[in-house]
Amino acid sequence: MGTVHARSLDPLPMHGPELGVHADDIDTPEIEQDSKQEVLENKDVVVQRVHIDGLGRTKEDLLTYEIADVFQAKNLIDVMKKSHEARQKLLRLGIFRKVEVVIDTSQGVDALPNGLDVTFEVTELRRMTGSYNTMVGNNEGSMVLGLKLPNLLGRAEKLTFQFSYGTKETSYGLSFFKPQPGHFERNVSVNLYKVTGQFPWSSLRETDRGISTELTFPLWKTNQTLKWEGVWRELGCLARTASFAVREESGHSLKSSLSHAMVIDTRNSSILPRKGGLLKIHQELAGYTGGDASFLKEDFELQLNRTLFWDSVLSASLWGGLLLPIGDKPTCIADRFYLGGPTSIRGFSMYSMGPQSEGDYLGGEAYWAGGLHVYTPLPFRPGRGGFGDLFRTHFFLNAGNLCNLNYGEGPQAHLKKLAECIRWSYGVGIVLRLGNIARLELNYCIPMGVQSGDRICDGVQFGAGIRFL
Amino acid sequence: MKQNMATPMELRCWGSDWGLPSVHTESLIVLAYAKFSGAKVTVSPIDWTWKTLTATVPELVCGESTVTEPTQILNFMRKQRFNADYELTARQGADTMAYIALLEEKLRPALLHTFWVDAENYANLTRPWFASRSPFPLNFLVPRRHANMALSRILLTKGEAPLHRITEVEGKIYSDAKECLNLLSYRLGTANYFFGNSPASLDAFVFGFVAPLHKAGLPSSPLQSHLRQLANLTRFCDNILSVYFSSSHPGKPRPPPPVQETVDANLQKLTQLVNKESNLIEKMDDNLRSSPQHKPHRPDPKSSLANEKSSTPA
Amino acid sequence: MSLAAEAFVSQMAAAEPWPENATLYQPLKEDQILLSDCASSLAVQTYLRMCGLPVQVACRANAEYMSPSGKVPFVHVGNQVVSELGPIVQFTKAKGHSLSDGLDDVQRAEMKAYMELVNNMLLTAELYIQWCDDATASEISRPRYSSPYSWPLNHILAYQKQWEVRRKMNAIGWGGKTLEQVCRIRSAFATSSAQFFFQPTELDALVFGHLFTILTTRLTSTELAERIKSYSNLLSFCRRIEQSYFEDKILSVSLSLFIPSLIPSL
Repeated sequence: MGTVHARSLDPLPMHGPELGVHADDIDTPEIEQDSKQEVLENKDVVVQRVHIDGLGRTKEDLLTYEIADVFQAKNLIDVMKKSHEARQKLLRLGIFRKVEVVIDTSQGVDALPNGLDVTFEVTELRRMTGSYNTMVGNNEGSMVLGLKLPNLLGRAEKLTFQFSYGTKETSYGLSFFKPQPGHFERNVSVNLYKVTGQFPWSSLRETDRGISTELTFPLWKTNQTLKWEGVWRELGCLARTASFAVREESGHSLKSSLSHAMVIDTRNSSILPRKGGLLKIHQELAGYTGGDASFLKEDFELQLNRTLFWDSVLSASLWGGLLLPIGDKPTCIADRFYLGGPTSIRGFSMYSMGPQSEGDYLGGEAYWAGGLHVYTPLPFRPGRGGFGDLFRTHFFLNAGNLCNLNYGEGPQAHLKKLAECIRWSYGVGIVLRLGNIARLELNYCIPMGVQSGDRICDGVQFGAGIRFL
Repeated sequence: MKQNMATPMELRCWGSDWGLPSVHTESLIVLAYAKFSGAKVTVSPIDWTWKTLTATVPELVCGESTVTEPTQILNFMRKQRFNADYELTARQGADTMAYIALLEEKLRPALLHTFWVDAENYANLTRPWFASRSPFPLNFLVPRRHANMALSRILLTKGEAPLHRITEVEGKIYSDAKECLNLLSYRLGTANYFFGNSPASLDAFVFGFVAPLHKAGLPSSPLQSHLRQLANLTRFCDNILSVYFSSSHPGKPRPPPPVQETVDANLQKLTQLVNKESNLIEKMDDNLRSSPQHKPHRPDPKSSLANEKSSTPA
Repeated sequence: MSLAAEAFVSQMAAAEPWPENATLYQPLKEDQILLSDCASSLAVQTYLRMCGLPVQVACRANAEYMSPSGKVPFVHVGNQVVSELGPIVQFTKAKGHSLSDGLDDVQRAEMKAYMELVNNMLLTAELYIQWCDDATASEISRPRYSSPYSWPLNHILAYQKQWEVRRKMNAIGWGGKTLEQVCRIRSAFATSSAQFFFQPTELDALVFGHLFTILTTRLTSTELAERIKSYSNLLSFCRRIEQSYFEDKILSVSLSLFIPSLIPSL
């Protein structure tokens, strides 16, 4: 009997000849063809052995979990489906460059007549790989050099070193990632980093040196993350003309915080999704594990998408957050929320909304922001089927508000403050999707509800980023 | 004591050029003081020897003991009864210390920058000179090392945050240096030396700092042009050179005849005006003072430099 | 800043009179401030009092980082921030208050030279004693400097500051000096200093700031203070300035309370 190589990701064919039988087998006489047909058509089979060939440093116990399901296959179609799934699981470990599945009848002494051997032929990744990328973050570009050591100790651990030199910040980081064998979605990672950022809207320069440990695990339909982070923050003025309020924040501080995040993501894609929704809730408690900063921070993100007629998509999103200082120390400018810019409320300058002092924006302790978008394909659909599919036109309506919490007035007063003087904007623009990572936008915006002190970007505004309102 | 005086003293320093007995500031200070105090010092330049890399210059060797750094060397000489300062009053001694501190703080960074950090000067003058006086292969190392030391010295002492780069510090150190030169010029007035008619240690220090700036052929130096405008300082240097370092007076120096320079009043006023460059703020002040909200504080325009300062009671 | 920019800033400064809410910022008085910072701060306060300009003193843990030049004290006047005595003197001059106007050029030259001498001798010596002497650094300077911060940031910042100061001392040639040499320099200066001009100037403010701080700190060994006390002209100078300018403020009492011991036995 011939061998079956299942290599591609194409949907499994249901008929015999389309299985991609090896060229050599076509020469077999007609009679054997019939017997093959029999085997293929849902005859009961037993998977006797599953091998993995080509392992070097990978430990076998890690892989037994991924391939365990294959043993439960009852017929050939099932075998092929389960081996395909096992192949996907092996690939997502991130330790193999190539995985090929070979299904053969059992050989050997104890071979059953309907026994099958499944062999996974794998090629491991090299011990060390380097990479060079350019990255587009939220309105800045950077050059990223990376060094990756996959499968460090044989159980899909990964050590990554990244050095990023950008238009606004330089940073480097070392990260160690370890999944739980058998449950790849449960993993632990430890990060060490130094990040420098410049924030001209606040005339602030920030250098963070920190260490964090993160535990991720799925729970029912959600993905949960628990994290402890310790950061040494150094704040400084970006220019001599920085306002005194920003100057008062200069100096060193230590933040040690525990945070928890929960994500439910049913979208079909993270950039320009056509259906599904996203709910992300994040809270952070600082001060109880040491450090100078002491606060409780909550924020959430909600997005719902729905396809309308004619290939257009309606998308609604809502963001909100609250920062409560604990104790009598005021909140630090580096912890507060900022609003405005091409990635949040379009039509306003980057993070240039809300409380400010002499032109420097200080951020706020509570905010909300909402957006309503209608995405349609480009008018007249140029480049259809190819390049043109990466573009979309969108009509948007954004609104939001940002304020500080000045205690003594009670939560009612704060809610009222957030509800009045709402800034909002509307407009139309073109969106370009960059792979599955980022998105570029060119919008014509009309900002409204502008309060004194806000900086607006009336007219054409360009934005690039990963997370958009 | 007599025995000590007879012990020969040898000074290791950088060699001479540009009309000066040494191009190195510290070496010049020691040489000048030696001449002023009448000490017989054998000069052994370290040029073309391996000492260019290893030795701390200047270095005075007297019998068994070795002394480095100009202040220490001067103290040592004073102990050997070569004292150019014995005529100074206590007040003048304090003045000496004060002015030396001023030179170190305000003038030295700018001199280091002019000679070692400024790209044009370094490439065209300083590096070729020092490279040519060092043996191979040190001629590649020695200038670079001095330049790095100079740069780090400037940044460490002047480049306090947020001025971390040399370009931001440059403006400040040059304006400080010009102000320092102006102050020295005021203090010197029309006299030959800072205290009376015979030179003392302060004269040696000022000579050591100012003479290289005066005599070196720097391709580009705003500081040098500023110095050239202060005629009394350049005259001071030339005077010392001609009296103590010209070949016609190899031995003990005679006190120079009192020189009464006829001062051109107009030239002095012009010099004064030009010197006010570093006091631009005060000029603008004058304009603003005329507005009614400010009480006039400023007295009449300065008296000419012709008066020597008389000490005020403590 | 370029000369033109400085001139522009001072023109802006000169346009406004001295406000009532001018504030001087320095590190925390009780726990954090060190001898050198305290002396500099007192010098600036004395100078402003001599000029008759009102100023409030505010203490902040991050005063050193707030300052535009990294040094304390600094004053916040209107919307200008100026640090260190030299620039503050220039700034007040631009506003029309100056103590050294009565001096002629030569006197002013001397005054500037002596101010450099005080900085060079006293301030550098204080910094040296605080940070380069291991005993003082570990017992007093480091704990005090890092007191507002939590672990492990306090150790990191204290060691970082110590390393910076030592580097600077090495660069200017003070690295090899011992404590005794430094103290000798200080007393040599003390012998030569006296009040120089018939009217008080910024030089007097500077000298007073340093001497008064040394005299009124409670020392483990009183040798240096005794030596200064032995020069009666210095003592009378300090007393005179204190009585003329600080009578309304309980200066001597507060000072002697807050710095327990900054200098170990000499």
